[in-house]
Amino acid sequence: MIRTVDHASPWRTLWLIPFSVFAVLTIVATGGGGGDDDGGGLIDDVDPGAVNLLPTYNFFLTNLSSPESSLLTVSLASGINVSFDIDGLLANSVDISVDGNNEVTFLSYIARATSSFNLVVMSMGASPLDARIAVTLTEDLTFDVVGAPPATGAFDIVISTDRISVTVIADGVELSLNGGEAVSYTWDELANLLDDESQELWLRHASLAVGAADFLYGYFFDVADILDELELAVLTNPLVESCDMFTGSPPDGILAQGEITVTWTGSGELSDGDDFTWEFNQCWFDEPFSTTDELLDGTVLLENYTETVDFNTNTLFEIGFGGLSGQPGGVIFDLTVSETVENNGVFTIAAEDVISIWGGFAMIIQAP
Amino acid sequence: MPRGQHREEATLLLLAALLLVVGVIVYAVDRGGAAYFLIGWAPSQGKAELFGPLGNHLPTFVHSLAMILVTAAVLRPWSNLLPAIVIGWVAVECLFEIGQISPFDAHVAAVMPAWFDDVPVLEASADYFLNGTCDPLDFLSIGLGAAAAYWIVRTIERGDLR
Repeated sequence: MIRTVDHASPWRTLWLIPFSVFAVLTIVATGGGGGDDDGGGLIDDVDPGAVNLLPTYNFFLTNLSSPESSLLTVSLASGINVSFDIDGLLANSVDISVDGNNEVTFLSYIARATSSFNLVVMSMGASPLDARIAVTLTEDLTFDVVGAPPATGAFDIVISTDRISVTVIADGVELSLNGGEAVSYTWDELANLLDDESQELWLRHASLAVGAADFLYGYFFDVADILDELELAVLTNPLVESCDMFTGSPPDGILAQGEITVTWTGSGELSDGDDFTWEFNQCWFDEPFSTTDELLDGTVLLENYTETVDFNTNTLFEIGFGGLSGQPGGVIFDLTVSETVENNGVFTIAAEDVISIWGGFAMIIQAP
Repeated sequence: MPRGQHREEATLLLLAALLLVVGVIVYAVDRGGAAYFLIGWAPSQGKAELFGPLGNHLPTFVHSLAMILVTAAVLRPWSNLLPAIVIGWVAVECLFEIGQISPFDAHVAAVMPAWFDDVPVLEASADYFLNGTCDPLDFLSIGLGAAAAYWIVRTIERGDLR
């Protein structure tokens, strides 16, 4: 028989408050291990020493925690500003290789389905391109080589009431507006649509969205590439490296060979919360298969460094700048990027080939 | 309050504590100390197979079971609440598991406030969702834990364990 006692003190129910807190904490404290692997596992901040790296890592991008003015923004010479407003987290994974000198090479990566970001396009005057463009991955986008276009995948681009379905095919894409007939373009053709005012607007928006995604991931990998040099930067502080030498006579007033300076603003040992400045002083990037060269000038702030090692396995668990939950810091750009134009052996920089980049993103690379 | 009822509550609490100890042993031994609360306590190298494959799902089983037992002990005077207690804890445990599934994991981690970073245990919240694993058998073990808890509480109420 079940007995119920009605005259017990109702105050005893207050014990449920601390108990519920305890219950939730005990769930979180397990790290989420379960199934047939160890799940989250034990993590702690330790001196990395000779830290092992896994062959695959997840990486996440999110907006900086400060106000909207800090969204990663690209300002084109034509007066058009394109801002990236990441919807929550951009979730991805990357395969890496590590050589004998512990230098990391990023091989291939996957941008995970359901990740999404918005592009806010605003111009000084009234441009038909002005819009809020939502890009959502409907399938994983697989990139067999970092820096190359995706090999497979699909995503949707939504502008107001229009939905552009983009499917990756061999060497290009198929685009379909609102479920209509699909049209195919090579990657080069798609890139050229943006500046072709004779094209339909939805095609130019599709071109813009694809180019923007390429830009975002390109800059993520540029920053990720420097992570394995930070220990060296701490030792030599500052770390100064020469940029590529300009082949021929550089444009007037520009050095033939600039330099990059990485300065660590911390002291003692490299530790969580440290900041770096990454300065580009008239730095040329020679593009061997291109008739143009790229010039970078300005600063990238790398704020609120974080590094965590799983001390059970001495494996790097997490590294990055800023955090995924609104922590301060991240990668903050104040850069000017210019491209050369060559005419009869004379190199110049045309005003329309200069872009400014400011704002930024937080980035965390994490063990899966 | 009748003395027998005190004894029933003590039995439930003692059982819950023993179950939580079993959960800690799973993490300390079978999982090589892979839990936040064992940092610096458990041996950092190597693992043993004390519970074998059972160790993969034992923590979710004992956690749901123990939580229900403690809640049932606290609310013992209102024992007709037991079904609600069981359903409530199953829901909570399942929600935490679902929060580990992509793409929910990234969205849940994104809404964790920054001040969690400064609070012990809570600082591991984002990692829990992003890197934890959700297995269908976890849901089964939660359900089994809840069913076992229901049976234990009712059995103790009937006095069968005395």
